[in-house]
Amino acid sequence: MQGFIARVRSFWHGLRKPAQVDADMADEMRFHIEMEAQRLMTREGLDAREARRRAVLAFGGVEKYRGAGRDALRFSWARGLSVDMKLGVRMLRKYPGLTAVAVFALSLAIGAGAAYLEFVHDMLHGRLPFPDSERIVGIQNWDQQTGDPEFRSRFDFVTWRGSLSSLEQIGAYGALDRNLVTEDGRAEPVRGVEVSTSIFRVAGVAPLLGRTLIPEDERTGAPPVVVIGQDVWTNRFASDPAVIGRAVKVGNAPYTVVGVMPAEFGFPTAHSLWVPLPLNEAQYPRRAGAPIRIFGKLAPGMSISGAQAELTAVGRRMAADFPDTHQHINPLVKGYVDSLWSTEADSYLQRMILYAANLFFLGLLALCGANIATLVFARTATRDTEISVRTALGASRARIAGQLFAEALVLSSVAAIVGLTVAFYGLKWVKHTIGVASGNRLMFWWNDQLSPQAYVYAAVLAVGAALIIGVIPALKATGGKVQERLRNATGGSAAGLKFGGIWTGVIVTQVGVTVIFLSIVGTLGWGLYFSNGGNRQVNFASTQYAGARITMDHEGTAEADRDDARFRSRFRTLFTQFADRVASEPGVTAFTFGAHYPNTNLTEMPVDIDGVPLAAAGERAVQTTSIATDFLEAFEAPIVAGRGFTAADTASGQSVAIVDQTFVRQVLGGQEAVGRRLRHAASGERPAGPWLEIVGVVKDLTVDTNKDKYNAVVYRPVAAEAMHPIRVAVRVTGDASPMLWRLRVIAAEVDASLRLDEVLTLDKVGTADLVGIAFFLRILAGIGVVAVVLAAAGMYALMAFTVARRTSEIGIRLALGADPRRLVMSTFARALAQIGAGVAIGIIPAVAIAASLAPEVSAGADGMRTAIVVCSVSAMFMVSVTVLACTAPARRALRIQPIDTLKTT
Amino acid sequence: MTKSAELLPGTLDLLILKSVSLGTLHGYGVLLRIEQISGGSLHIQQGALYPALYRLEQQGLIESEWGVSDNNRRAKFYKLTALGKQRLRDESAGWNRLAGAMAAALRATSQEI
Repeated sequence: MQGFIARVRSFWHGLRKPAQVDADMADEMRFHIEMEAQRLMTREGLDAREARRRAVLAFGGVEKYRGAGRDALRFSWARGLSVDMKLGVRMLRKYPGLTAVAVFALSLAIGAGAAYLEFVHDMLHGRLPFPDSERIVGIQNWDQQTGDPEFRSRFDFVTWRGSLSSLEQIGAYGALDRNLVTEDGRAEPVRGVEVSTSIFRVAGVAPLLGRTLIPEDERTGAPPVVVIGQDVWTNRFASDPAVIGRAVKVGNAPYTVVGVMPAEFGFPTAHSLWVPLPLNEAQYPRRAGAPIRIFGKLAPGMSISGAQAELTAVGRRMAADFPDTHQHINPLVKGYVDSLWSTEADSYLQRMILYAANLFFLGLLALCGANIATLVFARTATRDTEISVRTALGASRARIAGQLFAEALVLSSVAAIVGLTVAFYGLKWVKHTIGVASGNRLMFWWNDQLSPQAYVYAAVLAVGAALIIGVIPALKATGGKVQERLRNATGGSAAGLKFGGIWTGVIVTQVGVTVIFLSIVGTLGWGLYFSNGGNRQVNFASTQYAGARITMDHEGTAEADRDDARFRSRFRTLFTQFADRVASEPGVTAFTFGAHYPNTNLTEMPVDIDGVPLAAAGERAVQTTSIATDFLEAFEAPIVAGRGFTAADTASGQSVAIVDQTFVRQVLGGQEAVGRRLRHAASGERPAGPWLEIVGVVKDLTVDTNKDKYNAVVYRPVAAEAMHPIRVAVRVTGDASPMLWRLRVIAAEVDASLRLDEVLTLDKVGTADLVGIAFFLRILAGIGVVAVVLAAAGMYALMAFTVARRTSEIGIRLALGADPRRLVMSTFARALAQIGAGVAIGIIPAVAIAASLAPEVSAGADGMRTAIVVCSVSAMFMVSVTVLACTAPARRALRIQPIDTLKTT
Repeated sequence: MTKSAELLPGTLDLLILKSVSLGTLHGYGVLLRIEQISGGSLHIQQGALYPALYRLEQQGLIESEWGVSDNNRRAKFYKLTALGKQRLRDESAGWNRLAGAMAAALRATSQEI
């Protein structure tokens, strides 16, 4: 070991300061000669000159031994590597085109791989930003029989509390989604939790203002207090330092603000409001009550498996004591972030899938690497003479491969640095996008820093890429007979290195894969743009409608309060008050509600129609939604046949429906609709629904020229109390934006337990759904650009290589009077054949994949037609780009002067 | 003047280890020490000492440090490492066994066969 360290140190020294090591060696030898000369002068009485001459002679060749010394230090190798690296840097500058393409492609592949690993790592193994975070665990009861988590564990919690020696702290929390009502009456939902105050001791995060929750706050009869997050403090209190002591309401319950937590505290995941969770009863009913999750902090020196052993024993004892409820219950201890994932088997599978997705990025890197290897090979071919001469002079194949590897390593290292930068900003963007799409804070332990794993992974990818792009071309270039290649090299231009089968394969595959890829991106993009709401045209003035989704809090946690009938009756009362108040607002011309808005995705329903035979099960899907009886009127959709809904239609036992014109045209083939019966067809486990009579036909609410059966809509009437949550729509004269905050104010005035979210004018509805798809599409488009650039560059390299190789042949043939254009065409033929082969290979799977995607994304537009259009465009685009890439070398070929080539031959 | 003997291959390393085991030395000092302990009977190509020193240092058997010589000049000093001590012991024992065996073999007379 010691020997190994000495070697590494010396090697590293040589690599870092080769000149210094060299100078030291010379100095040491000079000292030796001086000493010897001195001795000769004193012992044999020689004069200085003669003594020195004899000393040098006795030493026996300073240069020779310095060389041997370098070898002994492995120093020549180190210097060789450092020279190779310098040469690599020079190569980057000498071939800017290749450098640009390679760095662009590799940095995206390496960056995407590293970013993805970081993302998965953050998600699965995130560490809370607390001291001793590795000791913070989550404890979860599992029902071994059903494989489901059991969150109703208040009984277990109070039993465990104080009796577990492996845990220093234990606490619980339960979700508390409520309106936060400030003194000015403003009510907006906040993500909060009821939580054991021990979390603040576990976290050890100091409050920004005021204090955290303390154990006294949990006592029965303690004054109700709340701690808010920095974001709530900023948004709702304008960062007012006098917030401490303010009275607020959380839902309908009054609280006093006692503290503000900094942004880096968002326990349990992304929360901004904390109230104490008092669990003071000695006993709770077993497996009953509102759900809670349990966390804890391991005692110092205790491992998770140690805590698990204790809990398993406790679990067995409880199973024996309470076989009626606990026979199959087993508590599991996991690291905190781990514990948020579902079942053990599930999370294992999920993890595997998440990590396996990395193969996609590895594949991308391999594909990019193979392409760049093509380009590097073409460049290497231009250095054929250099390599052949060096081989002839005794450089080993490994030495030359080493040189090319070093050059490739320089290239891929630059790409890795760029890639990590891309990963850093890319991740920020991804997390921001997820935050926007979910409308929530991000997991509070996510940060923007890349973990050491991401750096290591990027380095591994860079070395892997360098192996592909450096070593493969090197082995191809150094194989074969040196003499023959030397002869070619010195003789000028007859084909030496060949652009052989492997490279042709790479280019053809590249073109094919790119066509497939572009087709997928094109199809998804088409779907997004034309059908998925991105450009959905409606038959009503969407800017005049304000919308909101209303949820009512379940008050209290006792079973009685969760009683369904009582809840529904309370909701009906409050909702009716809300509806009356809104309808009486000035400027409001209609108030209605439903399960969906007309311009969003409705619910898919397989349909049976009495007396109309329908095709296979997959062919009978239409859209359906439940609406208020005045919904169609409120959206100004005229009834074109039969009648509209009446209040009586929502009474039980009434089974009626209204269909739109698309339904009549596409499903019924234009036949009379009113009076027919339809039902929800049996599907899977689910039996067929009751028959509904079609009482009317309404004009379509959305406009789309490509509507087919799948876009047909069946409307069913519903009463407000039968729906929760519920979406309301308010039509006003003019712009509906000012109505949005009025809806919040009115809801808060009616009752603070009515929570409003998705408060938007209807022209904005649905755009949030698009964020995710748009994000995915942008990533795909990015990869598509890389694929196109690589294919074009590969084609360019092939053509440039061919032209360079055949320069003298072309020159001679021109001199002999050949037609220049025909000559160029013959050079082109191979490139065209490869493009053609690539497109031919790619187009069939491309159409197949696109056709399978098209119905999903274009909501029923003719999938095959879309697929063919998209794929043809992709193929034509690919052909044009690659042919364009060939033009520069072709023009170079056309400019060849016979006389010049003859001179050099 | 005694007759000087040529070094057997591989023995220079052993001689260097032995020399520096007797005290920290610079390269020239190693040469003098070898001449001294061998009674001037071993002939060494002086320059060959240095590649051998670097090789031993590479192997972690000796370590070096820059210092100042008796005549106040900058010089590189070598000393034995723990690993070097171990190696010196092993090699010396091996050498003695070999030398003993060789001597015994060469002493043999026709009666002993």
